[in-house]
Amino acid sequence: MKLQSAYNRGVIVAALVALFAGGVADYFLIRYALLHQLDEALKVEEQEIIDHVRINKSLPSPSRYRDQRIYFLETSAPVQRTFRSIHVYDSVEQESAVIRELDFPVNAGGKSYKATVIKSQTETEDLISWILAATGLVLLLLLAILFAANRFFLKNLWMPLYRTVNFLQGFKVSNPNVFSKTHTNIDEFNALNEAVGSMTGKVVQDFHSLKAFADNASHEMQTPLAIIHSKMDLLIQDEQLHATHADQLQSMYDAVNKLTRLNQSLLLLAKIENDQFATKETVYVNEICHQKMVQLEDFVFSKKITTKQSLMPLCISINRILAEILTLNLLNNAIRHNHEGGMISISTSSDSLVVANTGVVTALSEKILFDRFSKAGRSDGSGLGLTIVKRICELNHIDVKYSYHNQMHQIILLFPESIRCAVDSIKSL
Amino acid sequence: MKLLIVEDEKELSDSIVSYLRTANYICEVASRFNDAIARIENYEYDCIVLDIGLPDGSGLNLLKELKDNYKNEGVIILSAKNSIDDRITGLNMGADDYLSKPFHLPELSARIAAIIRRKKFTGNNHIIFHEIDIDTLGKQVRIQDQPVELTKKEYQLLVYFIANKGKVISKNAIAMHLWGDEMESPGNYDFIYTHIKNLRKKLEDFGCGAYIRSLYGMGYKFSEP
Repeated sequence: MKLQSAYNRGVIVAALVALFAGGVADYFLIRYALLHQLDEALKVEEQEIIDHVRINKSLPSPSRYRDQRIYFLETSAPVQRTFRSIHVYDSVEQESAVIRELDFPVNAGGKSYKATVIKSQTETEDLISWILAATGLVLLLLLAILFAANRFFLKNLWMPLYRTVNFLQGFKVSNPNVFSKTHTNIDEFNALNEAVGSMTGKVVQDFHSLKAFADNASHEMQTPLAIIHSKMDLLIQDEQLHATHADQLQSMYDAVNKLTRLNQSLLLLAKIENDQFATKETVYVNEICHQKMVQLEDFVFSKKITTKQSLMPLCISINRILAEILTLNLLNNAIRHNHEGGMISISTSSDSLVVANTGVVTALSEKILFDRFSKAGRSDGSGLGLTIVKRICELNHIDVKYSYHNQMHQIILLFPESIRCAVDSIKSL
Repeated sequence: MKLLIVEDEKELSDSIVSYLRTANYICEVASRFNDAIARIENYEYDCIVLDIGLPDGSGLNLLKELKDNYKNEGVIILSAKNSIDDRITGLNMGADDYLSKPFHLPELSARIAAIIRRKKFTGNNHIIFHEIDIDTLGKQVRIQDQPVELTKKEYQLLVYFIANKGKVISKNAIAMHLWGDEMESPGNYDFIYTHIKNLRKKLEDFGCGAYIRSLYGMGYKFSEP
């Protein structure tokens, strides 16, 4: 949940607990205080009675007022001095009430009495209720203000954090935004920004030097490869070469070719990562599929593969070269991993491209398929073809999936609305 | 024909010279920028092979020099970078062709021949090999003065063979020439064989000698029978 909500929740719970505990404590404290006050009043009466008895040697007359009653009961039993609260039914007012009673022993004229002073506690109780209500209201008000203040302050207080989080979320090593370390009043945020700034700076730097290294390494490899190529081209001019040498030479050619292709694929991947294929244009995928199939027809023919093409116009906005590489790799893959006399089916719809081929009779693992250098079954490819496909798709938000269905290995590309363009009905085949 | 090879990697320039010398080109080598400038200023060449990754100054600057001095040599650029920007820049600056490393020597040879044809014999671009007459502008082939119908790939093969006549060409090189970068390393080269077989048949049907020889395991050679 959001920081604010969590914080608010905590604060509210604490506040409610405090409110409750405070309320309860409040109640008991006030009650005690008021009752104590009542008892003091009773004690005053008691003292007056005792003084009266002392001075006049007789009991004062019992009294009965609205809020106070005093009466005496002659008794021989020992009397304990006690304070008591009693619920009674007031027949006059026709309602129940509470009274506070003080019993104490008094001797007058040689007789023992139990004196009882009674004061109404109802007003006290009412007072307690009012005080509690007022306190509760104030506390609720406080709570509300606290809540509102929280919301307001939290928002502003945490703003630098949200800014930093936003930056981190949008951060791409290959295309970094500059992090503006705006100074805030809060030490912790300054420290955070400082750390984020230096860390991202270092990451970008490392990335660039790694990329430069990879780039240079690949380029450096081109020249020795060129030398090997050229020496072999010269070597085969010698027709005295024995038949076995010819076989070995052919293997060497193939290996060097593969190495070259691998190197070029790595360079291509590096360029893709480097955003060197940024320019986009309107591309008709179905047309490219058709063109590539024409170019590859010799290979298809030599492997006796039958093809089925169902090419509805599919128009997207993408870098043309990447689109061609994507299509070519998919088709090459379908040819390479096919068996003699197999089948390839290519279909484009308004939002998808599906390339399916027969081949190995068991389903392949999707994860391994797109993994660099993994090879499902024997093949002579460099293994990077589908990895490049996947990377191009990722960069263009195209969804790519593999499935094994009806004994055909299918690679399915789904093109989202965001990169599709309106099909020009005149232009479509 | 006189060629200037501007390449700093000695092994590579040696190979290029070795191959091209036996194709009757006269080859000179410059391995430094300044060296190359000096030679270009003092001599005439039919074609210049230029590596733009020179250590002491980009080859592209050399190209600029050439154009600034109104030199008319054909130039083919070699580059390890295979960068599209380089390619476009080079061609815009007046280079005639671009070849990325690593490449096959027969490929280089065929491209040099094409550039020289374009530069030298404007209006009369014919390749003649005994009874074979190829009109490279109209892309027509005549054998013993009879027109011959060749598919696009067969035509390209024939031109490639003749440009590298007398040389053993590997199947790899042929495949690269006909299908370029599109091709991944195939399991076998049967598909090449089909085209070559068809070309051979057509040549023989029209009375050519058996010029195309296949060399076991290695490749093919186009030469006098």
